[in-house]
Amino acid sequence: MKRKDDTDRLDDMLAQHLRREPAPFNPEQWAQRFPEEARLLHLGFPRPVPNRRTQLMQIGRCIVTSRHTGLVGAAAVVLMAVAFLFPGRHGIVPESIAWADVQEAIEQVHTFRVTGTRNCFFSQSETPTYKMGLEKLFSFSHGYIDRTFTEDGRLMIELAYDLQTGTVTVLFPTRKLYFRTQAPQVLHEETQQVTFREFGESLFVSGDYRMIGPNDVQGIQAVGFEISDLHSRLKAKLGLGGRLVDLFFSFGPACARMWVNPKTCLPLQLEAEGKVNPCLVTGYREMTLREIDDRWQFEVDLDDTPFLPAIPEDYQELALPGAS
Amino acid sequence: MSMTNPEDDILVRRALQVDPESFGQLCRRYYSSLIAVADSILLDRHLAEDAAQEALAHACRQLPGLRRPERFGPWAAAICRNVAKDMLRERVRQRESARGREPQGPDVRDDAQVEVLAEALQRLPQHLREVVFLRFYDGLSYEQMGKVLGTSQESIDGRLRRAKKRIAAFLRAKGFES
Repeated sequence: MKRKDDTDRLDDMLAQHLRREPAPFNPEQWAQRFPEEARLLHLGFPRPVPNRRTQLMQIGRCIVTSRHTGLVGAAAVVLMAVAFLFPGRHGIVPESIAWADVQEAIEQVHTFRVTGTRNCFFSQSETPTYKMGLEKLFSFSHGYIDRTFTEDGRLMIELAYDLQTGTVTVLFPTRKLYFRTQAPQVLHEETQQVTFREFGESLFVSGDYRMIGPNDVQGIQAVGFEISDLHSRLKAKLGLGGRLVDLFFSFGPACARMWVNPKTCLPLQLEAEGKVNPCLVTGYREMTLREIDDRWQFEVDLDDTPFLPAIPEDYQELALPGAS
Repeated sequence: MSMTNPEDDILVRRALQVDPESFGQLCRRYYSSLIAVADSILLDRHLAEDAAQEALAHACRQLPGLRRPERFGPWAAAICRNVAKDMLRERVRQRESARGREPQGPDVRDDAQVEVLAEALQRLPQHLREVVFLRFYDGLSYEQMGKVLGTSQESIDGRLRRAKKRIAAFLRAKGFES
């Protein structure tokens, strides 16, 4: 009973705190403030001119500029692990609300879980040297987790970014190592404020991007967006490429392709491929990384997910050579 | 299952056929909810009213392009969120240049518990704060909230429970019993 009493009491407190007098809509006042719109209502709307090409571009723009698919952009960037966490201030295409009808479907998604494969190639062979599994958890309000698994399902690397504190934690369970750092204050504030819509826009619809398809992806005629200069975009637009990042995970030329289900406007598959320069993660060898994120779950409950994981007592701190 | 409103479909179609009163009905139906949505972002009732009115102006201009008129409510709410976020960014910029006032909480009162409650609300993620505002601001039912948010009553119930759980935990941490 106590529980119910508590709930009722909290309801009462919230009602008391938030209750407002109903605000009546005043059409005359609104018409005075927005005379052009009032005129449209009285004189009629111009007939829309259908233009298939334009519509496709508009839908595409909406898809790639939505906050959700921005997350996909972020997911691509997280190929570079900590690199995602160190963007600088970036130029943003002016926000549009014209496509809110499509955005609205996406806005409802606040968390997602995606799994897929992450393959490493250390030679020209088409057979990957290492086949790995991946899991990404994203909460718009909590942070981000990126996990890499061995082929037999053992956790190899876990990267976690806690949005509240701006803490980056990387765990290497198989080697009992960890690395923890604090995002710079400026960056931390930016990551709390920047929308992923903006982030996705700067990655996928600015500059020279290409719409591809529709192609059959997982049995769906999906619309694709492709960029071939992911690396230079990150360097130029996100201020990526700090020394610490390069020591840890030095990303080279890369391309990314995002497939979207046009019926739901939600991501269906993200493919990315890029060179990784010799760095700590590659064992100081050049590597090609090919990643496919192909299983997406939206609105998963991540409330109890440790974005700021505890470091086990027997783990040792990873020293980045030359980082000091 | 998403909530839709068949009456909205009729009102939107009539509005497009030069019937201003139909658009007025849509405005009356959603204005208060849009204020709640905007207030959950801006935490300022007066700015929220401005945002709601501006959102309706955007909705009016974009009405011919609305592909699913029965979802006018969620569509207008999405526009309103964008307008409110723009206004919030603008306010942050102005505050930074003026080094002015802190953002207002909803009706700051002397009561310490109320201040803590306001802080708890501010700390909620926006999508959870939004359902709390819609629920308690105007006393909307789950069904009415579903028509604004375009989502199922189960989803709304889940979000509301998560939000209240967090608020209660915050109050406890600050030494108050919820």
